[in-house]
Amino acid sequence: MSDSARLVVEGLRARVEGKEILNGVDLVVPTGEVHALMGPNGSGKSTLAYTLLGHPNYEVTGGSASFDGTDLLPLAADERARLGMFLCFQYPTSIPGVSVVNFLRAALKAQGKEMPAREFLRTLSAVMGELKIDESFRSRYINDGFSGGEKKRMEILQLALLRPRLAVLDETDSGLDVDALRTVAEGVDRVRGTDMGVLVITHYPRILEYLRPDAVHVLHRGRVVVSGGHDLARRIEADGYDPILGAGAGTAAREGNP
Amino acid sequence: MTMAVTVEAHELTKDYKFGFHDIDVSVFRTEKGLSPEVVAAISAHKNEPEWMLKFRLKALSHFRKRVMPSWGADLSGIDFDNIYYYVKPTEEQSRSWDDVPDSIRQTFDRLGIPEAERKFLAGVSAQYDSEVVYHSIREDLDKLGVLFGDCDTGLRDHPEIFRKYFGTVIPANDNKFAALNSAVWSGGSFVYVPKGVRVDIPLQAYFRINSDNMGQFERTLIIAEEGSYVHYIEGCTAPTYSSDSLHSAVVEIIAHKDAHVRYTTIQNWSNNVYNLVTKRAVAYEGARVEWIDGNLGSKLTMKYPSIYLMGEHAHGEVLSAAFAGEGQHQDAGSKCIHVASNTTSNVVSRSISKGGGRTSYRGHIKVHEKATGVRSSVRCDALLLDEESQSDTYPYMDIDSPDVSIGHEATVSKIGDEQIFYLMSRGLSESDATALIVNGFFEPFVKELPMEYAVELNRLLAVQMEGSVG
Amino acid sequence: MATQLQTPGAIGPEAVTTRAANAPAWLAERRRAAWEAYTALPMPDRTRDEDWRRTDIRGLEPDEYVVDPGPTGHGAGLVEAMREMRDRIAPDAAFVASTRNGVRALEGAEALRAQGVTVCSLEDAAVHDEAAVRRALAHVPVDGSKFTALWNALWRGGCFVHVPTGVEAAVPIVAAHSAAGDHAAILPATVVVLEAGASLTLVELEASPAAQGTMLSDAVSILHLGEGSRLDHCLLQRWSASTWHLATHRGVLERDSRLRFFAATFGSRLQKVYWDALLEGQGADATLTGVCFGGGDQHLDHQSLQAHRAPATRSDLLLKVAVRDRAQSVYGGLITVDRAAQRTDGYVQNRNLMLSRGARASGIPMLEIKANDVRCSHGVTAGHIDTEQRFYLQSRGVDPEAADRLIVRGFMQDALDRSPHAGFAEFVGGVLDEVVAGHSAAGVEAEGLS
Repeated sequence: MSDSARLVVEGLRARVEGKEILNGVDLVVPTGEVHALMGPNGSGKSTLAYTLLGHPNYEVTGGSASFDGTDLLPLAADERARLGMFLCFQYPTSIPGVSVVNFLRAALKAQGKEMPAREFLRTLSAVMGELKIDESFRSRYINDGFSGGEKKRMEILQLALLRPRLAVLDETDSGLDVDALRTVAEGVDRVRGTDMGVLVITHYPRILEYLRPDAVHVLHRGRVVVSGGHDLARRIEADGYDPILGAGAGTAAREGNP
Repeated sequence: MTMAVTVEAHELTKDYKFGFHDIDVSVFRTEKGLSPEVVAAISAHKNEPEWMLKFRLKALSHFRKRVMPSWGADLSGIDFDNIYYYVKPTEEQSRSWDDVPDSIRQTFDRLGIPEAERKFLAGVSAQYDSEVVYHSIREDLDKLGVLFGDCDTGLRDHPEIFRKYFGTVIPANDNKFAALNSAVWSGGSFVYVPKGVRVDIPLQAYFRINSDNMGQFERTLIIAEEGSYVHYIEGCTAPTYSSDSLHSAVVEIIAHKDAHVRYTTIQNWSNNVYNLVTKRAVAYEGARVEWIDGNLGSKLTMKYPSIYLMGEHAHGEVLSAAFAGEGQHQDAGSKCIHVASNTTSNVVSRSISKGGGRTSYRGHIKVHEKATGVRSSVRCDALLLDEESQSDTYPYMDIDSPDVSIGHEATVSKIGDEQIFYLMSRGLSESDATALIVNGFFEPFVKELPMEYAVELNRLLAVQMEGSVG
Repeated sequence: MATQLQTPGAIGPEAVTTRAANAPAWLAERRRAAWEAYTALPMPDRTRDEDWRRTDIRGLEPDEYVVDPGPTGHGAGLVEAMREMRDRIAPDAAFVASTRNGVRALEGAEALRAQGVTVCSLEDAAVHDEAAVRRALAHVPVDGSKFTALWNALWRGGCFVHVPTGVEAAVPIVAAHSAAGDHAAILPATVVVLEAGASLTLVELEASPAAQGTMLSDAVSILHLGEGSRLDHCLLQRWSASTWHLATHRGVLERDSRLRFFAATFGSRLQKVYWDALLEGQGADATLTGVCFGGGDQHLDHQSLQAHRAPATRSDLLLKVAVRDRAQSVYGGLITVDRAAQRTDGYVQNRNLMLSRGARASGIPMLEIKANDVRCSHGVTAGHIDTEQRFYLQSRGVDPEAADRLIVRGFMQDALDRSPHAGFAEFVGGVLDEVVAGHSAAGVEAEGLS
C-alpha cells in the first residue's frame, strides 16, 4: 500500500486568523479508496480541506502532509493541483466575466492536459449531459448567478475533466435535494475508477450510501478521534456523535484504519 | 521621398510596441506656439472660407480667456508655447495606399491598418499628425450617399451639411480644450449617413502622432439621418518621446430620429501624450447613441463622452474601460443629460490601476424638470492591483423630476483572494489566475468590440499585466 | 453695513468682545482669532466652492442676526417645550438646555456625576476642564471655514460631557438647543470627550417655534472617542422653516472606538450640514444614518466625510431623503482611504424619494481610494412612489394621503431601524408622520414663548 500514490497526513496542526483549528491530524488515503471524514460543526473538516490544498489564509504550525511522497507544505495551491490534487469547494466562488469554457481550457492547459478543441468540446458535452448541466452553461461566467446545486455540479464537471488523483469533496452534498445528490454522487463514482483517491467531507451519511467508503474517520476538536468502516457512519446516523465522542474523544482509537 | 523608418529603443517603449517614430517628412508646419497668426496660417493653408477663419479666431480668444480646469487632473505639465499646432505630412490625400509616402505607409502597415481594411472595414481614414493622408470608402456605401472623409473635405465639398451642424453640439467656448481645438482643428472625420441607410460594417479612423512636440487636434462630425445606422471606430497611437505631446479632439455626433450611432475608441497613446478630448452626442426621438470607450494609453486622459437625450425614447449607452499603469492617470467617465421624457441611459465603467497608476471615474446624470419616465443606471467598478495605485469615483446626479428611476452603484476592491485561490486550486499559476480575472473584469467592455479588436485589446492587456504578480 | 448702525447684540466685533471678556485668556484669544478668520474668509460661493455649487446662501446676511438678546427673552417657555421632548424620547435622560442666553437648565445629571462624568456648560468646562476642552476644540480649527470660524468666535453656553476611562454612562444625556424671535442667531455647541473604554448615549435636539421671523443657527458638535469607547449620538433638527441652519458634526475616532450617529432632518429653510467621521485609530468603526424630509421651498444639504486614516477601519452611511413640493435635497459624500488604511470597509447609500413635481434631489457620492485591500462601495438612487403600491393601499380603503404617509414611513423604516436609541427612533417616526401629513416641521409650539 505504501508504494502507491496516497495522501499521508501526520500530526498536522494549522490555524486560521490566529486561531488553532487543527491539533494534530493523522490520516492516510490510499489510491483507489474512498475515505469519509465526518465530525460535528466546527471540528475542523473544511479547515483540513483548505489546508491540504494550500489556501494562503491557513497557516500550518506543525506536522506534515505529503502526496505520493512529495511534501505538500512548501507548495502553492497551483503546484498541489498540478500534482493531481483537487478540491470540490463547499462554496465555490464566482468570477464574473470569465466563461466556463475559457476557464476549463486554461485549467487543462495549466495541468498539461490540453486536448484538441474538438475533443475538448465533445468531452465537455458528454460530461455536461451526464451531470444534467445545460449546454448554455459553457458560455456563462464561472459560478456567476448559479444556484447552489448548479455550483456543485460545476465542481463535479471540473473533477471529471481534470481527472485528479486525489479528490477532496468538501460537503459537496450539502444543500442538494435527493435527485441532485444522486446525480452528483454518480458523477463522482463514474470518474473515480481505480486510480483516484477520494476524501469525502460530509455531515450526512446519505452520500456515503452512494460512494461506499472504504473507511470513515471522525474529526473532533482538530484531531481524528475515531476511524472505522462504513458502519461507523451508520452508527453516527442512528445515534449521533455523542456516544462515539464520549467513548473515543482524545484516545484517537484506530479501528481498522489501513 | 523614400525614408527609412527609424526605431528608437527608448527605455520607455519596452512594453509599448507602437513607440517607434518615423523621421520627419512633413511638408509644412506652423511655427511653434499659438497666436492669431498661427491660426490664420492654418486657415489660409487650407483655403478656408472667411466664416471658418472667424470661428477659429473667436475660439482662440475663448481659449485665452478660459482658465485651466482646476478640478480633476494635473495639467501643469502642458507648455502651450512648446507645441507645433499644425504639421502637414504630405501634399496630397490618397485614395490608394500605394500613393502614400513609403515611410508613412510602412507605419500604418506596422499598425495593421491596411490589413484590417481588407478584412473587415467599410471605410478607413488614416490621419498622420495634422492631416488625413489616406481615406477610402466602400463603393456601395459611396453610391448610397454615405459620406466619409476628413472634416476639411466636409467643409470644402459639403458646406451646406457641414455648416448646419459644425460646432452646434460642442460650441467653441464649451471648455478650454474645446476652444483650443476649435481654433486650430485639422483633419478628423466627417461622416454623413443618409436617411434609412445602415452601414452594416464599421468605418474606422486611425490617428497617429509622429512628430515630437506635436499637438493633434482632429475634429470629428458624425451626422446620422433618420433611421440610419453607423459604427465608427477610432484607434490611436504615438511614438514615445521624452517630451510630451498634446492630443485634443472634438467629436460631435447628431443622431436624428431613430438613428443608431455606435462610437468605439481604443485609446492607446504612448505614455507621453496628454489626451484631453471633448466628445458629445445629441440623440433625438427614438435614437440610440453608444460610446464604447477604452483608455489604455496616454500620460493623462480627461474624457467624458456625453449624450444629450433630446427626444422621447432616446437611449444612451456608455461602456468604458480604463487601465492606468505607472505614471498614468485616466480621468474618464460619462454624462447623460435627460432632457426629454421616457429617455433611458445605461453606464458601465470598469477600471484597473496598477504600478502607482490612477483611475478616476467622473460622471454626471441630469434629469431635466419636464422629463418624465426617465430611467438611468450607472455601474462603476474599480480594481486596485497593488498598494501604490489609486482609484477615485466622482459621480454627480441632479434629479429635477419626480417621475424617474435612477440608480448609481460603485465598488472599489482588489482582486478577491478567494477567486485567486479557486483558480490556483485548478492548477493556474498566480499570474495566470490574475490575468484571467482581469480579462473577465473587462469582459462587459470587450464583448462589445468587433472580434479583431477584442483580441488586440486582450493582447494589450496581457502586455500591461506582465510582471504584475510577485 | 456701517458698524455704528448695527443692531445691539448682533453678530459683530462687540459681541466677540463681550464673549472674550467672560472667557479664560486662552479661549478669549481663540475667539478673537476666530473672528479675524471669519471676517477674512469670503462667504461660500456657488461658482468658486465646489461643495456649495448646489446650495445658494446669497440671501443670508449674518450681521443682521442677534446673538445677544439682552436681559429680555429668558426662554423659559422654550426650555419647557424642549423638556417635554426629552420626556417623550428618553425620560431617564439628563437634560442640558441652551438658548441664546446660555445654559438655562441642567437637570438629572446626579447619577452621572456620581460616576465621575462631567456634565456642564462648555463655558464652565473651559475653566474647569481646560485640557479636555482644548483637545476637543482643536478638532475644529478657528479658520476651517466661514461658519466654523463664526461658531468658534461666538458660541455660548453649550453642552460639555466628559466620561472618564472605563465608565459607561448610567443614563443618556439630552442636549437641547433652542431659540425664538425675529433675527435670532444661535450657535449650538456640543462637545463630548470619551476616555478609553467609556460609553455614552447623547441626544441632541435643535428646535424653534414656527413663524417667528427669520433665524440663523450655526452649530458645531465635536465628538472625541478615545480608545475602545462607544458613543451613540442622535440628532434631531427641527428649526422653523425660516431658519438658516449651518452645522458641522465631527467625530474623531481613536483605536477600536465605535460611533453610531443618527440624524433626523426636518426643519430650516436652508440647511448645510457636514457629518465628518475621522477614523484615526485602527479598528475604528462609524455608522452614520440620516432620515430627511423636505417640503415647501426647503433646501436641505448634507455633506459627509468618511476619512479612513488607519488600518481595519469601517464606516457605513445611509441617508434616506424624501422631498415634496419644491423642496430640494443635496447630498455630497466622500470616502477617503489613505495608503496606510488597508483592510478598510467603507460604504455609502443615498436613497431619494421624489414626492412631487418641482422637488429635486442631487447625489454626489465620491470615493478616493489609495489602499488596495479594501471594500468600498456607494450607491445613489432616486425614484418616486410606485403607483401600484399606492393603488394597492387605496384598494384596501386607505385614502391617498394616508397611503403616501405609509409609503414614506415604509421607505424610511430601514434607516429608522438603525437608530441606536429606540425612544428616539419612535419619536422621529412620529414627527415624520406629522410632517408628511402637512404639519409644520418646526419643533416647538409657538404659544407662550419669548
